[in-house]
Amino acid sequence: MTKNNNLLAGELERLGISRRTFLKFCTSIGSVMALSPAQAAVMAEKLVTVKRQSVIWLSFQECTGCTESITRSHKPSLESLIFDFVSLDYHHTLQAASGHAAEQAREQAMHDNKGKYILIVDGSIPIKDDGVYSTIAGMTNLDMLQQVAKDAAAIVAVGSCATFGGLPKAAPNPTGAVSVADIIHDKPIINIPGCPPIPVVMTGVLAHVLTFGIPELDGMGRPKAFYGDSIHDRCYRRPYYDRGQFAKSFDDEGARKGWCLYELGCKGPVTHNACATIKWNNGTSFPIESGHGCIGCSEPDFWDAGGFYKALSTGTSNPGQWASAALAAGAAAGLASAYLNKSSKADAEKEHQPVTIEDMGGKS
Amino acid sequence: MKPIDLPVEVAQPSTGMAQAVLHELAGHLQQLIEAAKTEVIDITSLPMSSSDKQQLETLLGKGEVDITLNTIGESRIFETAYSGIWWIRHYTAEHKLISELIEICAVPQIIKTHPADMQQALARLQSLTNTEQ
Amino acid sequence: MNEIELLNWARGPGLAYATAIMFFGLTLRVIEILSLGRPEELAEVRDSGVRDGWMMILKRSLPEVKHWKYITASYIFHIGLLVVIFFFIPHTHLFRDVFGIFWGGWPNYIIDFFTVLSIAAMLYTLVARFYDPSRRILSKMSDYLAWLVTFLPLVTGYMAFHRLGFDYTTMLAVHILSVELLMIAIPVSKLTHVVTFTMARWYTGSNQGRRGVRS
Repeated sequence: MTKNNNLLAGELERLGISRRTFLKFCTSIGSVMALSPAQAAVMAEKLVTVKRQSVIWLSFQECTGCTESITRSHKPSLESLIFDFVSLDYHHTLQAASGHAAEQAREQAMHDNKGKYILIVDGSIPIKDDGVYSTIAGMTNLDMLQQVAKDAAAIVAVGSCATFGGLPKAAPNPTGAVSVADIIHDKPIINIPGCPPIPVVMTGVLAHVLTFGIPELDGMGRPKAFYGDSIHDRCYRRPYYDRGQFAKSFDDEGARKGWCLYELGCKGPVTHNACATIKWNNGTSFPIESGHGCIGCSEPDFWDAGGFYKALSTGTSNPGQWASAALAAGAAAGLASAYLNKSSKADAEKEHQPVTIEDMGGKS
Repeated sequence: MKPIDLPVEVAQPSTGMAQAVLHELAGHLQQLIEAAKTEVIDITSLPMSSSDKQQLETLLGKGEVDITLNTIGESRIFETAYSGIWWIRHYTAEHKLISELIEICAVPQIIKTHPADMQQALARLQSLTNTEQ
Repeated sequence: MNEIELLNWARGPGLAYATAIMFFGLTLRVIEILSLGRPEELAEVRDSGVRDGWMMILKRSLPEVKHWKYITASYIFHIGLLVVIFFFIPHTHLFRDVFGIFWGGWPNYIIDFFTVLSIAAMLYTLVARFYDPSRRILSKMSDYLAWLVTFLPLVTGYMAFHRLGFDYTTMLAVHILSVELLMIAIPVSKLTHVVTFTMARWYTGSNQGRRGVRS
């Protein structure tokens, strides 16, 4: 292989990934991101000729589901190919066996690629009590994030924990968990929420960042290509919603016919993600297709949104209890008011002076 | 135990998209003949119902050439009954369709062997003949 | 605050506070009304007034020929509003949450029909109120505000379901907030009539039944 076809193309050859496989990869990624086939071809050209992008992956207060979602190492997929186009200089879960050497590698990579590396974060950052609730190699997550973000070119927050706080932030949030965007304000941040995010979404966004730069983002920093539509907008059960045909309980007649799951708590109407089109497990299915309502895992505070099995139209704060309490309070206030009224009425009667005809100027 | 069969059938009417695509293909084929300009249409991203796609495939038919690409997951490529119009399907290792394209060209781009690959093959071939000596 | 946080607030603390204010206010007012009672009857009563009370509820519910258009529009609006509130399927879940009882909803196309009808009827009554000289003189700002807080939930609900206006999350939040505004406005305005209208008619009728000379 020619030496000047530098690092990345050489890597492809070394890993046994053929040019055609790679072209296929770019075509499918481009299609999923609504890029034209011409742009996909450009992506293919660029990905091969760039120097491998330095990437530092920091895992904070997380369950490792996001890493798992994208690195199914026992089953190489087209999605995990993206890792062959980046130089993953630090990932403490994958490098756990290396101990201090891993930390040194991180510092070296930060130094060598100052201002140019991409920082990927998964997991929320606890800030209560100076951030002691999550530390790596003796350093709090808060400090590590601020230190590494300082010289990063851009930050990609992966998973609902890093983008919005996720599960650790759910009431009562004992560790003071916050998102990346709550801490870093001076770097471009791309949010890829989901619990976990769909693998090809993570790959697609990374591929886009490497070749075309930061994709178009919505108001919450999510790439519009994947998060522009809600699940409801693209759900195949939409005709049932429009006609008002709902499943009333799991496994009832409506459920067996595949009717809309609104009454069983589906949060599809207010959840933005690509599950209805791209689906999960290489396009096998997604929760609604399997008969379970969407839990809204790519939206902020979905753990506190009132319960996965309560319809979107219900309240989340137990309004029934408030109503009874208010009724009782109102009754008490009413009785108090009644007592006051009665006593002022009694006072008025006591002071009442009957009027005689003489008082009115007449003659008896 | 087999999972419960939940047949979900949402009626997918024919929308006339197939005809629209045929018009587009005719235009591109003309460009190919007159200006040697190739073009690719991404079918996965077109708003076509499954019956539209069926209709289009039936209309275009199958030609003489049928190619299987053995990459990570296979790809099936065939020339339609209309020369110069090729139908490409890319699958994952689990045989899930990940992208579907129609390419208007003499030979699809992904089939053509890249010069760099040829260079590499020559190097390997030469080393093989060298070691034999 | 982004749109999902607004929605979560509306479904959470917003709904809690609005429910509390509405139930507290209505209970307080009803007990006040009942406990205040009526002034001492100094003349001899013609009749106990009980039958006349019930009759008045019926009489005032019947249309009066002179104002038949306005009354018809008002009936259409009231019936439509009640149908939409209590029989739209997502609303039935809210009521099960609050009251613990559940009843079946009606098909969406029926609810849609009644929503449009109610909106049209409300617009008619607004115009009729404004352009009739005597109604115009009698109307105060509180009347128009009461109309507005009742109109907003109908319109925003329709817009949310049909995906008009803002994105759905925001539209849903706006709809729920408009309902909460209505709930807060009920105990402090003439909208208290939702619970007191029968009481008021009964009172008027029974008063009239007690007055006058026994023939």
